[in-house]
Amino acid sequence: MKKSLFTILIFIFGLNPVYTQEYRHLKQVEERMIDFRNSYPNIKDMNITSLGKSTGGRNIPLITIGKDDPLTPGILLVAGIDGAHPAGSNILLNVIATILSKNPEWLSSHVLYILPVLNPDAYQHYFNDEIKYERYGNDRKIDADRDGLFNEDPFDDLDGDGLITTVRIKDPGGNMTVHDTYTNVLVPVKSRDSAEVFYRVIAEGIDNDKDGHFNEDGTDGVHLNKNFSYKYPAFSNSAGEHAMSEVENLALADFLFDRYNIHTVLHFGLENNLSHPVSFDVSKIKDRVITGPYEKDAKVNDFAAKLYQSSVDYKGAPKMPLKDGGFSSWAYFHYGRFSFVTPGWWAPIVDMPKDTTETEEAPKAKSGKKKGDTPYDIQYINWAEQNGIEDYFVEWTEIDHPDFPGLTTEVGGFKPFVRYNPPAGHLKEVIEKHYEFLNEYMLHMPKFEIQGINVEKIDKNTYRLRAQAVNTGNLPTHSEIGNKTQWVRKVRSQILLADDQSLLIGYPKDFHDAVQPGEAIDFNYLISGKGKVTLEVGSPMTGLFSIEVELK
Amino acid sequence: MKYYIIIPFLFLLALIPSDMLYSQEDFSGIRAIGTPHNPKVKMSWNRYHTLDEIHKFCKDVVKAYPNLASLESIGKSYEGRDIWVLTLTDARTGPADKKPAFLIQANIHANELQGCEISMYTAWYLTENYGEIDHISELLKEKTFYILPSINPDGHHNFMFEPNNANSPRSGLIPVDNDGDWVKSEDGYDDLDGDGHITMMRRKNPHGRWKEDPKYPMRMIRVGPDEKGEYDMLGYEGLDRDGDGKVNEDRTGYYDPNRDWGWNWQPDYIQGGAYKYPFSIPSVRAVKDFALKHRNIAGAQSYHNYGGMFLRGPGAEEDKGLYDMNDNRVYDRLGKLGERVVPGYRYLVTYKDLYSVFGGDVDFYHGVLGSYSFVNEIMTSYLLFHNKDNVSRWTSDEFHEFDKYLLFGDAYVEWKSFDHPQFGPIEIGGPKKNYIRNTPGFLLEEDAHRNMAFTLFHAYQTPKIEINEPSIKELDNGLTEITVRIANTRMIPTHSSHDVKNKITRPNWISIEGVDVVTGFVMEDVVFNKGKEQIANPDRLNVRNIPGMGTVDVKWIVKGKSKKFDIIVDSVKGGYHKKSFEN
Repeated sequence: MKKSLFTILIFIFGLNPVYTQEYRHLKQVEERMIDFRNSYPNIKDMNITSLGKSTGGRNIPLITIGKDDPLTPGILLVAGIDGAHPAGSNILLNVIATILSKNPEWLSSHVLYILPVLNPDAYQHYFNDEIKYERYGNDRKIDADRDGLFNEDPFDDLDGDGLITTVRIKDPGGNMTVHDTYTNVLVPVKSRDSAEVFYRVIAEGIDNDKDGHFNEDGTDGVHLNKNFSYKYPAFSNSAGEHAMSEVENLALADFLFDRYNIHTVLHFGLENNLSHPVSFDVSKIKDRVITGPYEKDAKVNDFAAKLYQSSVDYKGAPKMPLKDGGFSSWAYFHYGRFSFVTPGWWAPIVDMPKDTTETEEAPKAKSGKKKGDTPYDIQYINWAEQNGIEDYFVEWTEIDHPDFPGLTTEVGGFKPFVRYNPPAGHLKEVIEKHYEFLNEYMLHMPKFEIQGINVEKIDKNTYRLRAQAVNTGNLPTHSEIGNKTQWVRKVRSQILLADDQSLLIGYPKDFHDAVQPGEAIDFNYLISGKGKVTLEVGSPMTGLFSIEVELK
Repeated sequence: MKYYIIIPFLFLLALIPSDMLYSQEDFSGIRAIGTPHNPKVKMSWNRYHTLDEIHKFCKDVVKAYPNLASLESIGKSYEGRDIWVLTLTDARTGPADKKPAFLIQANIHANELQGCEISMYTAWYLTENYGEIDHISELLKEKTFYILPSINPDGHHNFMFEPNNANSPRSGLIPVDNDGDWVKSEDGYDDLDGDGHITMMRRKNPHGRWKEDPKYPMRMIRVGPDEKGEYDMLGYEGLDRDGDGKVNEDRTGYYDPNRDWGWNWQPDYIQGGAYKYPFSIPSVRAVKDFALKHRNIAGAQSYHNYGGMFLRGPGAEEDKGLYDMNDNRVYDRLGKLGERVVPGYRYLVTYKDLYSVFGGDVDFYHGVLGSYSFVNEIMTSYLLFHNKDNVSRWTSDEFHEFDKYLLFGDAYVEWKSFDHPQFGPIEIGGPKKNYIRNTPGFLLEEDAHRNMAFTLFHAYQTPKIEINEPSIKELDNGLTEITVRIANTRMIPTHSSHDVKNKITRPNWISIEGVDVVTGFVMEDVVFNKGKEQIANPDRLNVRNIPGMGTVDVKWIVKGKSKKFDIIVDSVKGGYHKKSFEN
């Protein structure tokens, strides 16, 4: 019996070439990481460890490249928080492979913390599910509709193709219709006069528990990217009982709060503030609970976005705003770090053959439709068609749906995962581009140069020492929001004196808010006692920079 | 035959300690009404107990009343101390988790000790009066009490055994970097005179802006703008330990465990005292985990000090809409009763009457669990001379007057000289750490009893479900109609309005067993036969709420003539109830 089920599964996946070029499953991710260590013995300080275990008891792999040291500036690279995005994990792993192979100079003075799959419970469903659906949650058993029963109304594979797609019901009251040109694609009804056919749309399934709701309590768990504490969407589906309730979120937060040296986090997920940076809006920082970035931080977002777009230059990134309860906005608002996120890959806008474009664009222009209004679904279809991707779509097929007797009901639509997870071969180019971006970004990290050293001898044993420490990087030492939270350490400047030296006034240590690119910190000391002194400046996010000065 | 029974009984009597032979009835004239006369667990309620004593008390209660009490540790604090929960209920009337429960927690703030005593007093009062006072017996039969006498044991221990002032520590003992110099907790208070209290430092200065109050020399007052003073005030006892020109700027603690609860939690730059993220403090997380596992908690009480207040949420102005009219009616009744039973205490709404704050315990219980919850701020200057003025406790002279005439000078450390390594010759003195915030001993028992009375009223008002006699009607087609009215005879609904809106707690399940159910209805109006059919699993009807002092009607149509059947009400916060009927 079991054997036959297995055969059926193979048969099912055999029918779906779109999944045949599979991503690495969890075991293979771990193997790849071990392979990194074996292949690059020249790279010191590479550690393959674990962030801990997921809710389902799976390992959350962690690679550290560089010194995990409180004063070595670091970057966190994370993927697989959104469970249905194996492409992000794939891109990240391969960006790391590229870094290792190129061994850029900045690697010796920085540390990278890499979490390729934060949500292994969801991730493994891409490979293992008997019935495939886009799963975002971990393995926590939840009563999604809070009726006291668990998983009593999951999706149902009505057409038996092993995939959960959509059901459309022909219904004059429906609010969806078909696209003018791409008649397979459903779009919202804009005007009831112009549309000819109306559909109600639900996910593939029936009302198993007969409560009038469809698929409202399936096997999915808590979505990690809804469970962080910034704008936590309390009571929304799959957000958890309260913010930061999941072991994966806690493990990540604990790891980060233990590290003052992390300057920036870069997340590969289904949000994007690199193609579409978040702009400064003064009204969003007026109230005590702020909901937008501070001005200087918004500038850094712009700066990073420009770098990003000059490397990752393919067009048509769909708008994917930061999510409530998501990691990336949490990392800025509640962890105080520069925080960037991109899906890494999307179906870029492709040039269509002339004749097609003409016929399509002409009526659009008339109806006043702006360019760029193309739904992402259409953009994806154009790309898929041009790139020979087959079988990304389940053609609409009529079925008998027990909950809609007498109504024309069809199953069909995009196959799960396809729209943001292309066959792995199509990621090669974007991996190279993301390496380029990261490399550029690292070259702009903040650093100090101590200059303008001026020693003035006031009396035979008394000196005035002045100098400036300039941030010669192109990024601030830390975020503006970091000035406000104890979880970001301020920049420290200090003078180190010998036992027989002392300051005539003041104290040897000073602490400073974020130092912007080109900005300087002043040293100004009145010292009694000749000999060597050391001026030192820096923070966990920049490392320490020092210079020895002789007072004579 | 009778003979044989009496003899061993007399023999048994001889084994009982003589003081236990006198029941309360024997001494009805001697027994002070309101207090157990001959408690099995001997306690005095005019003192503060150590953690070891609290633990011993809990064990003694369990030993004395094994049918009423049990004790478990729900986790450990940062320094590895157990967080104890004493569960009280009459186990013979059903398991603890099948009854409406009331949670009492105390001492989240280290220096706020009264709650430990009040929660122990409550456990003591309930168990010792079980079988003596009908109302108390009824409470233990119907309800479950989860009593957590200290949810910040590290702080409790530190406050008692380390040199401190009345305000320190408020937090737990996780070291943090208060002053932002990359080093944690490196410049705390110093008990310079070694008396166990961190009092004040003053320095004689002919140009100073302070002087002694001529009435009370321990009281320092600011001189007028054109008046000559005698002293500088230098803050609490301490040194500049880390050589940065600041004294006591990085003390133990600083974070606030009561900014750690995960309802609309906000970080430190928005809400001072917040730690890393919601439930990032181990002891708070342990309590949260316990509460989430015990969804029968229908009401919660957290004891704090100071101010003489019954505080309800919302804590933060941003949550204004969280409490609606229906829920507020319940809160208002409880709060107003509180003002009556604890004279001098006021019923307030935190965000508008006190301050607007995120991450508090009350918000967690109301917001996340959907349970009615209060913070009581124990102790107010009203208790000193029954004076309702609004002068701050730090500037009022009543504490000095009280010290002089009722405490005879016990509450202050008198000024004495000290040679400070940084300030030079100074004087040290001021209020003892156990004065001002914590209730003086002889007032403590009364404060405990009155606050308990408020809390017991709240607990009593948690839902009580009654299954009424069904009405049975035979229909023509061989079917029978069974209609049952379910009543909640207390003020608190099975689901708060906030709970219903957000579907926090699963619906009440009202089932019928022993009949063949054709279909079932949750009725809107029995008289006019209006109702909503439940198609799936009609033998177990989902009822969103059974309102306080209200009823719900359900109806089933069953096959044949009903003979014997059971009606079961399984309500998370209203308890499990089963009643058999025969036609």
